[in-house]
Amino acid sequence: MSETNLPGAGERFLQGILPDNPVFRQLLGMCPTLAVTAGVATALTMSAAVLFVLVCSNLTVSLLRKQLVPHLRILIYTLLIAVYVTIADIVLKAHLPDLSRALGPYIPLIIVNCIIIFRAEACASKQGPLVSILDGIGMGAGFTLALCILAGLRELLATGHVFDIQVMPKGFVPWLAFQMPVGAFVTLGLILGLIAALTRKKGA
Amino acid sequence: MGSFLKESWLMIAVSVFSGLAVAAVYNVEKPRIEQNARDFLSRSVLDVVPGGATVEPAVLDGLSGIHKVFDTSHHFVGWGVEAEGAGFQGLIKLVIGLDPAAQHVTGIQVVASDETPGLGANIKSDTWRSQFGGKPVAEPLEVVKAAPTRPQHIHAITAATISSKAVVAIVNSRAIEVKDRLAKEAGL
Repeated sequence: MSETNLPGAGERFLQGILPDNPVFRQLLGMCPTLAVTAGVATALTMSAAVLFVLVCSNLTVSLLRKQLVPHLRILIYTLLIAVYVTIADIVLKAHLPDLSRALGPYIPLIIVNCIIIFRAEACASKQGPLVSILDGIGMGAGFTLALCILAGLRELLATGHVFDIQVMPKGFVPWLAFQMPVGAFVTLGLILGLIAALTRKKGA
Repeated sequence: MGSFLKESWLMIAVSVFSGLAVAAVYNVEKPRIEQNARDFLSRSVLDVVPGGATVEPAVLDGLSGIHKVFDTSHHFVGWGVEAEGAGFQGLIKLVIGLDPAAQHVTGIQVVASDETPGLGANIKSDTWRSQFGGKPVAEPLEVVKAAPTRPQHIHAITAATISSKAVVAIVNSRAIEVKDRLAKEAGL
């Protein structure tokens, strides 16, 4: 496939944020989406780690793309992703110990997050470093946006506050179910339904 | 051999660089990670022993996970004991504070738990944990659903009796263990 048929840098960047949002449109990376969105702080930390890994792996894969042997390429992607995730995990443990403890195994689990390996295959292994970096940032931003919406809603409904800032009126009864896994599924389902309803094509 | 290298040289090179990168980052951050773990533990230990200022790891007749707590003038004020056991949904990790003779519990802190939010997770609440302060170690603590009438009673959390019992069971077994070792050491 020639590079000219593929989307350019700007399009790649914008695609990831809304039209092709990894969580809301591609339904990829559901494990962290459901598991770490009980609070905004953990969701933001998770998003930052994913953004870092996406950009780094996209950049490296893009630089190595001419050398990749077809039957070994997935091995290389996985290895590179594992390295960046391990680095992110070590840095979080050292500098944000409380959030790292709260996130538990979910940071190391970014290794198996299919958004990242998918971007390596779909974009970085075919296009240059600049496009790949912007693609990583776009997809990472889309992921961040999705996680923040979910976490914001869940934290608000489950505790009445966001980031320790009281939002709900005094008489609000916390809806604790939203802190539990069921709250993640219900919130995600409702948002997906809303987006599908809003973007439905006429006559389709 | 030639075709093996021709196909896999990149894999080998990437592997070597990956190993080096992870090792380098880990080496730089290792002291900080270890310091974080120590800080976290000593914070929890100081929480459960009133008047404590410094924490030193101790070994009590082969029992590990035990810390001696001293006040600002370096007087021995109590023990901080790490303990763990099964909860309702997963492992519950506690730090139990004991007075110097291990006769009374001075407090407990939940270090890690996976209990149900809003129900079992209340084992972490200050009000519930404060029941443990001053409890005698000699007699095992008991979980009651009505208002406590005896010193060894602990009031269960409504709709979370399993979590309440789990914490009490961990405290009971671990506190007695420390008390017995201490008595044995004193007797020798």
